[in-house]
Amino acid sequence: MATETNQAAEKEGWGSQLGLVLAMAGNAVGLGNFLRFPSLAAQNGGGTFMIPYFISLLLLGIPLMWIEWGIGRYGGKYGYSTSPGMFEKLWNNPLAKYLGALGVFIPLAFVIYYTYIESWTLGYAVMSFTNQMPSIAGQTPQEAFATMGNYLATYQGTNNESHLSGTTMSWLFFIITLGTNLFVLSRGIAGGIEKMAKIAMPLLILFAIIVGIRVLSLPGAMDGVAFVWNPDFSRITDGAVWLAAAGQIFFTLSLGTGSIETYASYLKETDDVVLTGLATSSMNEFCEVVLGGSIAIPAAAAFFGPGAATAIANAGTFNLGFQTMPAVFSGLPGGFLFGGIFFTLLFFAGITSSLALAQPAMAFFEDEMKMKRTRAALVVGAVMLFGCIPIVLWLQYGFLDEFDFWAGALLLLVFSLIETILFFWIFGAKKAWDEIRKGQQINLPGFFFPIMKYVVPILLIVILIKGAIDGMIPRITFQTWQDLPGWSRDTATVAQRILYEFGLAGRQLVENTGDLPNFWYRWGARIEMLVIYIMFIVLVSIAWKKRGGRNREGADA
Amino acid sequence: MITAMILQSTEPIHMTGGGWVFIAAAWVFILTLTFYTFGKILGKK
Repeated sequence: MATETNQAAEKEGWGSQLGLVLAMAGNAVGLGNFLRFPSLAAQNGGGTFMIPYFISLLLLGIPLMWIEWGIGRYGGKYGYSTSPGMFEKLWNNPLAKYLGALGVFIPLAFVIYYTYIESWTLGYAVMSFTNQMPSIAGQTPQEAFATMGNYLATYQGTNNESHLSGTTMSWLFFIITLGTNLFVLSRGIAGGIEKMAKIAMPLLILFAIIVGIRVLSLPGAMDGVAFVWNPDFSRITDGAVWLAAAGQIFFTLSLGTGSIETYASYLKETDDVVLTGLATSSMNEFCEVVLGGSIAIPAAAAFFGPGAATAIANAGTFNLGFQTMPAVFSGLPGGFLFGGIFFTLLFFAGITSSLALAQPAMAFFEDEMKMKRTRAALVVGAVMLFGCIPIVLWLQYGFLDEFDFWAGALLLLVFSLIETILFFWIFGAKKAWDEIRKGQQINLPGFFFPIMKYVVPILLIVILIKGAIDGMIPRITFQTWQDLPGWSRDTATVAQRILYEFGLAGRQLVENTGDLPNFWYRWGARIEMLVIYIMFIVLVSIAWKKRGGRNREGADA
Repeated sequence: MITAMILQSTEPIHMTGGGWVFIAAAWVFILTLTFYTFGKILGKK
């Protein structure tokens, strides 16, 4: 169509293949590479975790990445940088564009809360470099851990007496982080995102190597390495380990957010996606397995002793990043410098991801709503700012946690399943396969064809079912363990466990006490996300009506 | 729980032969893939 061709001709593009790879890798590399992977590996059989991990990379991660790149480049050919238009090209059905709206809503909802977490890394970096982190001189490791826990709570404002969290410092760094994101986004693809990636990614790797060498030189650090890598072959037959591996591969490559499609849409029709996609994945794995596996857990083991390694691994990403690691660095000579470097690398990992997550919304407002880039950045910024206010203010009541579950986990799986079925089943497997291989700079082996068509959707369905049983059902029945006063996963009776697993614990509590803590906050978060999605449904509808009008004008001309 | 477990055991965990095999295999695979793909990208300039 003439209108689509004109749009395609005006589209931005990447300056170089290397710049694209660094930007895509930046999208993938995030806090999880350095904080989540080592904990997960340690908890799931150590070295043997690598077996399901690499098999998942081969059967799910890389094939799905190629699918997303293929969809993006294909849609970009017709002038579409976001998934509403892309999905409509794959499936000529009025529903397609509204399914595609997920690919704009999900990354925006994700980046709303992710930017706040990213701002913590900036705040911690500045506090470290300026030697303002609390001193732990003379403290035992237990006391140091508690000191840093208090510091985090003070920074976030969750331990004040007020009902509301958020402090001057947390707001300040959030505004600076948001402003930096918007500034880069307003400079466009080559002039903004690519330039940032070319600076941030090499520095990230350099900083990780510096910190890694420092950590591995600590006495006791090799205990942490052993904790991550010593194999426990008894776990290899545990289905939960395989699912954990598949889940980690899915999330570490930032699949299912719509951002890969958007980035790929700026490619030319005959630009390679096979080699470039593989390079992106390999860089992500380098950051995760080689660098990520060498820093956090070894540091924790060196400082707290090997006995605490299990508990620290189980305590989660935030505790590891913002409590354990600051305690470790505070106890080191020159620790303010290494701590500053560590949190700066986390900030680089975060900002390259947040730029990718915000770009689909940017592209949507520019391309479909015909906004100039600066105005689009302001609109996206306003949504991110106002969308994040409840998250900052009600952090301790589960607002961020709720966003993280839906927009940071479950919906990514849903979107990935939709796009895979659209591309390989509705658009056509042969067409999809040929589309991915266009312009390939390395030969895509034929065995990936049945993997993309059959294995990827099956694996996504399995992970989705597990996620629904483990996470969604308890949530939509208004309960999680932290919402149920007096209930604890560790001390629950058999009866309580049964009630919980079947989603009845929350209702039981309401009957008994008439009140569910966090109930309104969690529903507030869900309503906020729903409002954002409905907003994009309406905007898609408006954009398509306008597009229909422009097409009629073009046909008449 | 973490504070209770800290320093609970000071028994070191040594890298076993299996641990070295897995870390070496993983690192070699990833580094080979990374150098191969980036070599191809940079080499065609």
